[in-house]
Amino acid sequence: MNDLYKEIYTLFSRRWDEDLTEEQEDALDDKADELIEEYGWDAVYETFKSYLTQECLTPELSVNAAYIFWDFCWYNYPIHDPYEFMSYFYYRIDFNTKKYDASDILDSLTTTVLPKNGISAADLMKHPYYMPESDPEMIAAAERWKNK
Amino acid sequence: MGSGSSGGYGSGGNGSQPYAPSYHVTSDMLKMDKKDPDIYNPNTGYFKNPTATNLETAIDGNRFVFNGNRAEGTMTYVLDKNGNIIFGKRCNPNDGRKRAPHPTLIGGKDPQVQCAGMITFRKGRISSVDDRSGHFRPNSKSLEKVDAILQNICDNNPRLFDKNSKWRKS
Repeated sequence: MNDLYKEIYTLFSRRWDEDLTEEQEDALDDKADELIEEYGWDAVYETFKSYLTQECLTPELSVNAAYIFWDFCWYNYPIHDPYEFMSYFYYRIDFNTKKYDASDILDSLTTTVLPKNGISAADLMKHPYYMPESDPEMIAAAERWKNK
Repeated sequence: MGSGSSGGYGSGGNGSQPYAPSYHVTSDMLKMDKKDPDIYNPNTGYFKNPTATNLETAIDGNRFVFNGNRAEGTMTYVLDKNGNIIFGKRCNPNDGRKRAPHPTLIGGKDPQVQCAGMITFRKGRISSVDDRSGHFRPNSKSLEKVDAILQNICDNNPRLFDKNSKWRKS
């Protein structure tokens, strides 16, 4: 476990909705920003994916990680494999968003990450009825996770 | 198809409608929705999104709450004709494999809005809004009304807004 992995592990090993003061939240945000400054986004992203796929093996843990990823606004950085990334969450919850994603955080992430990374099919202005759960690319990518 | 156009603001980018005090659903989207009974009932029109929530009633201390938790993520919103910002989930209660578009935040045969788009929450605080609604396609000028309402809320309690949001910075 290298230093960056340990840092990410620490940042994400908490409940997304724990009761923090705004100052405590700011400190976490600062720490997340510092990681990117120190290691670069590419390394942070790849290490986060390693954390996600090694530590977040249940629906609850993977959705929790999605919330924290959202709160750090890491969706603003380039994600070169958006379907592979987002499909991990859907694979873990077996596309059961009703049970595991009551607040639609995965829908929010998907409809943000995909268009930002060149996939216009998830652009809600053009496709108001877009659904990750019925996107053939998402389904195929989740199937790949399942078969790994 | 705005409900009336006043001069000065033509059609905006992304195919938005000319500026109007209020907007109906665009004819092409209405035509499409009428083909889907899970979205539009011939007798009652658009169903009412059960998660539709008045923004001001979602305030709980220094955060917005939604669905029992602090509000997170991006949701649909409309500014209704009475000046209320209504937001809700995209999930369609009639069929989990479908979505609930902007008109369902109001419901009925001819929902009208002053503006519509997506509202983004982070840690129970508003971080941004836009005018991206494929159903209403409001003119970007209409977003100023939403901005003014949010600025008023922010002036009363800045902690309801993300520290990097434009309302908190102004």
